[in-house]
Amino acid sequence: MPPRSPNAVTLRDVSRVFGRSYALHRVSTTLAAGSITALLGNNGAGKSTLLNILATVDAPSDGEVRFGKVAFRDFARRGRARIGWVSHQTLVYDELTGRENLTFFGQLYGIPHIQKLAETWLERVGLSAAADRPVGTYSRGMKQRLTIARALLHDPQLVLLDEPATGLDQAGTALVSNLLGELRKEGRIVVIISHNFSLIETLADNVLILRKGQLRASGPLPPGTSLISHYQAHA
Amino acid sequence: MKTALILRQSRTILAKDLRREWRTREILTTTVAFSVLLMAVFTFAFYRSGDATAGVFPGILWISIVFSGTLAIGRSFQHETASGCLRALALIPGSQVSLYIGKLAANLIFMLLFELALIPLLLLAFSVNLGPTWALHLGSVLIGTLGFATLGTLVSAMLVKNDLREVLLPVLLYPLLIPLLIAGVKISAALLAGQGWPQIEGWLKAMIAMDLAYGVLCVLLFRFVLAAVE
Repeated sequence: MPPRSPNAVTLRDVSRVFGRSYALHRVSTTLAAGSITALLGNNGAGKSTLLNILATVDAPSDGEVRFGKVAFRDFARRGRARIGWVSHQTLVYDELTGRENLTFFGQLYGIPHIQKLAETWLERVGLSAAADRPVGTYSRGMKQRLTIARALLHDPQLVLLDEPATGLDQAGTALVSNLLGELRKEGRIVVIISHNFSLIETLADNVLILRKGQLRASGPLPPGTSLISHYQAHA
Repeated sequence: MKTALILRQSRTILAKDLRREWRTREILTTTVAFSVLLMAVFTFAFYRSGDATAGVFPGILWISIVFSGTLAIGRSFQHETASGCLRALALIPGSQVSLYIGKLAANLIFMLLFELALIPLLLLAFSVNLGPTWALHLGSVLIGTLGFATLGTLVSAMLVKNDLREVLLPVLLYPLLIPLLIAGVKISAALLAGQGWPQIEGWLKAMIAMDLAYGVLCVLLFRFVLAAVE
């Protein structure tokens, strides 16, 4: 099997300015393949701005972002198919059924045998029984499961998750946890924003803590330290 | 290769919009109801017996198409932003042009469908007989509708995240449509006055040229519009 691309995302002195204030200020880090990076911080710390830049829907005002060897601009033009994104919005159509949503996005990505793949994903996220119901009739948790399936349907290498456990019950959270573990094993780059500290604590290989746009902590959780105390010390 | 990708994606987006409209009937119900209301108002305000009707009918026809079309086109991108789907679409390679073409095709179909209801009603209400030039009448309406949908789809996308979009859509769209409308009204008036192909040829060619110019410009500009609103 050929190596997945990109094998890392490197940020060097990345800043993002809105008006006169910095949403991000000189953030430098490397996100490696086969690792899960948690992005933590209080409201307004710059987490979503950083995730938007990684998704290439926003551009840095200053600094450099490289996806493997590919520069930001080129990746935004040609590499977006390698991004899977779970945003705080569901990014699915309420009027279509779960199956139709997955088929629609799969067809746009040009995935062959999409019906079969959609069926597999519906089963994987526990939505087989509700597959032919309009998404508007789904609970928040069911929509979130579908959102995760939509984001991973096209086999992305860079997986960006903004609060993926929102609305999920215990079984749903366990599902996300298992999926994230599988993604790591498959060598993908996973970035997750979550306030579910127990999920982060068990899964994250690296923890980035942002405060007022600045990176205050970066790296694995220090041994013997709980995530909550690490967070309180830096956020 | 790229053309095949764009066509396939455009077809997928069109099919999704048609399926969605079939389930919600959101655009067609409101537009057809609005068209009937417009027709009733215009009939009470402008109906005169005899030849006097021919003088006002072309204007009424095109104004009705533009007003009802604005209502239809104004809704075309709303459901894409409701749950953030526009962002998901923007991440799919090649989808920017496809999104525009798919939406344009859907808008064109919705407009032609409400025109199917509107035009016969107007003809009946104003007792207008199109006579032997009916095909030229319908051809000019088709070309005018295509131009309207081409420009309207782009302007509607530009305003998708603007709180004042309902107000701004006509303010931005109508000035751009004036040349197309003038040509449309001139053609309808000439045909109702008993003139034929030689008298309308220039205007019809001008409409086709405008459609082509709008089309090229809108395809080129759409990706910038999408980048600004995604």
